[in-house]
Amino acid sequence: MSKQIKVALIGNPNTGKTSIFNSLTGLNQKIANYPGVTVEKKEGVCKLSRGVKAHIFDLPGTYSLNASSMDENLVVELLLNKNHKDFPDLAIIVSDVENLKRNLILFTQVKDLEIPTVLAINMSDRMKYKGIELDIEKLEKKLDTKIILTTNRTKDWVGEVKNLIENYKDLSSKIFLDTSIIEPEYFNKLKNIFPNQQLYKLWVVICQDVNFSNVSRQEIENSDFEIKSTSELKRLQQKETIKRYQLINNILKEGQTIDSSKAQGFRAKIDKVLTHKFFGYVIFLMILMAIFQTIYEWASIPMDFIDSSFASLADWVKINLPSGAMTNLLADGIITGIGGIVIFIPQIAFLFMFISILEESGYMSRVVFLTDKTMQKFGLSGKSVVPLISGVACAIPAIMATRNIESWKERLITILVTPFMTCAARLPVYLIIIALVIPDEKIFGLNYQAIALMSLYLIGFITALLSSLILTKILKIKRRSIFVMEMPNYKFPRIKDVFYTVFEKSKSFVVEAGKIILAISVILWVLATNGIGDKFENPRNYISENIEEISIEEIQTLEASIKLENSFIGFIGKSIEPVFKPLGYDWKIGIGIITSFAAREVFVGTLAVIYNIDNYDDSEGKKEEIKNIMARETDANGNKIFTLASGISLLLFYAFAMQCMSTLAIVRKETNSWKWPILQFIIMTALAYFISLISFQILS
Amino acid sequence: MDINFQNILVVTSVVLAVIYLFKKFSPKKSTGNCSKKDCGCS
Repeated sequence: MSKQIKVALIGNPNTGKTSIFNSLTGLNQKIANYPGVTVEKKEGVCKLSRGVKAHIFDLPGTYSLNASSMDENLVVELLLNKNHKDFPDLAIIVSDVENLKRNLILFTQVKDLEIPTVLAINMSDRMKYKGIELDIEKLEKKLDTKIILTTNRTKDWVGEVKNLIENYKDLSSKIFLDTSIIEPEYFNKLKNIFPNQQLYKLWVVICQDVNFSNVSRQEIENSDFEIKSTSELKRLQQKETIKRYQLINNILKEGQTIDSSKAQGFRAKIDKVLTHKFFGYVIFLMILMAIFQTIYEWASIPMDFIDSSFASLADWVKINLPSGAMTNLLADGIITGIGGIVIFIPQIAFLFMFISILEESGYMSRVVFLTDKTMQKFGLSGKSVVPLISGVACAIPAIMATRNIESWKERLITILVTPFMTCAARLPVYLIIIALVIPDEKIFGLNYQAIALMSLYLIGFITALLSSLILTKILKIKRRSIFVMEMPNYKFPRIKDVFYTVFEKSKSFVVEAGKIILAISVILWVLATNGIGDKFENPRNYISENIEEISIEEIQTLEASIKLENSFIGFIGKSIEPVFKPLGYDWKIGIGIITSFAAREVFVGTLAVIYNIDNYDDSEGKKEEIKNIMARETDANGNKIFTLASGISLLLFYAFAMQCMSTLAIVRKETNSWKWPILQFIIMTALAYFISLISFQILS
Repeated sequence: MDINFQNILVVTSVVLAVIYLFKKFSPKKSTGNCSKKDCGCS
């Protein structure tokens, strides 16, 4: 078996760790969760010379080893536990060249764990713009480490990093700060009681209460050593930080020079505009509008291609496979159901691409800063902004992200309102309905469909804010969390990083939703093609029109329609139809709403399967695209099903309804009670029903 | 429904689909692995 070296990439948030990870591993990476917690674990393989492989772990961003959140805890636990299967042979500490002093705190702490370390000073291409000069040789000597200047502009440094990884045994693992100088009496006593343990590790265990395989906090508590009160420990931690800063300051005085006249300027000017309380919002709305506009402009060609490809694939299956139930299930159930969701990949990929560009460029942090002020007016702190913005991708990680909100009530409110944000699962539902009921025309160069889509995103955001305002009054919040954030520098997004984000997000969207849609499509198809009773067995006897006066194709369509209405799914759909009728929906949409309680995007797959079943192939035996079938659908009186009134009603239903079982499960887990998810479900569904009802009754 | 190979495949697919959905959405036991101070699951 070839030799494997384990490397941990550690660094403060926003230092470009992921860019370095991507440069070292390329596409050889996998993303999982750390066991027991939903914290992302990124692992990749970097090939070195002579068949040696390095396993690179991109650890969650942390400011120091004084962990305060679950992500940070995880980093500390891994670095303390030599028996952990991912315990690194080498730690690469990634730091931002413009924030070197603060970044070095983490570096010195990791070094004190006696792990061989390399310091990667990232974004080094910015040094010339900021007037920064580094004496690398001096810094290497003083910090007792190897330093690599990295940048996402070039790849020159990759070979050097690989070389250091390969020869990690030559790197120094000497400590940076003698822990006992923080408070000699206290630490010498600790050293005497546990002579065989590393002092700094013991100190971290005392402060963090983390699982350390060699010695646990309980063991220290049970010994003769007096741990001290929490406030005393905090005081010692502050003392430690001050000592570290003193040493780092002295080193940087010798190894770093900054021309402050160059350090200010461009960034401050841009920040002033982008975070302006009026122009900031105007710019944000313009950017959003441009994004939605572009999504519609760019995605139509690949979407049409995917739609016709799936229709052709279904044709091919029917023609080339032996006829029978399984072939029909494949063509009309599985391929149609999956095709119903795959068609939205281009729009979802474009949306994630733009979000990724906004994040990478540093603009998203300005949006967080800008909206923080508004959040406070609605009873939320800036700490709620990050979960709410994450909710645009998916409510589940967003709800997890509320864990860093100290105030329980504030956290609860954020958990309860986050599902109003427009998640990616709503997107296919919105897109298909908008395509059916909103004209593809322009006003002042802006597409009506793009305006409709942006309005839905804004409705979600505004509803989240208004709900939080109401909840703040009900729950009577007194204490607010303090929100501190660091503005990253502006930079041009790296195409490769944007590509990875788009690829990963689109893949997980399709794979996760695809499995559920596949399973539901199979069940739906069987329920829709089987039934009992004479109407199902002999539909021709129940055709009301005179058979001799209509074409064979029309007879087949009528037969299929009668069969579907009398199938098992038809029976279920007709039973629930009275509930949805006042909102303007027929029984088929009702089935879509019921199945999409599993996940919103299932709605699209469900409609694709149901509408496809009672639709006959055209005269040349070709399948029609599902969008056209749905647009043509009429009720028993010949009225179109998808009108502006029913479409808007349906869009609003999905904007407000809690149609996601996974989100309910995570709310249950995070609140440790069924009370909140049940209340959330009832209130959101009732609100969705009420608003959809009013909108349909007014518009129709 | 006639008993033939294609029908057997359909029935198998339905059974697998039901099992998958059941497993996916049945309540899972909490691992209780999160720290006391930063999550509500303890």
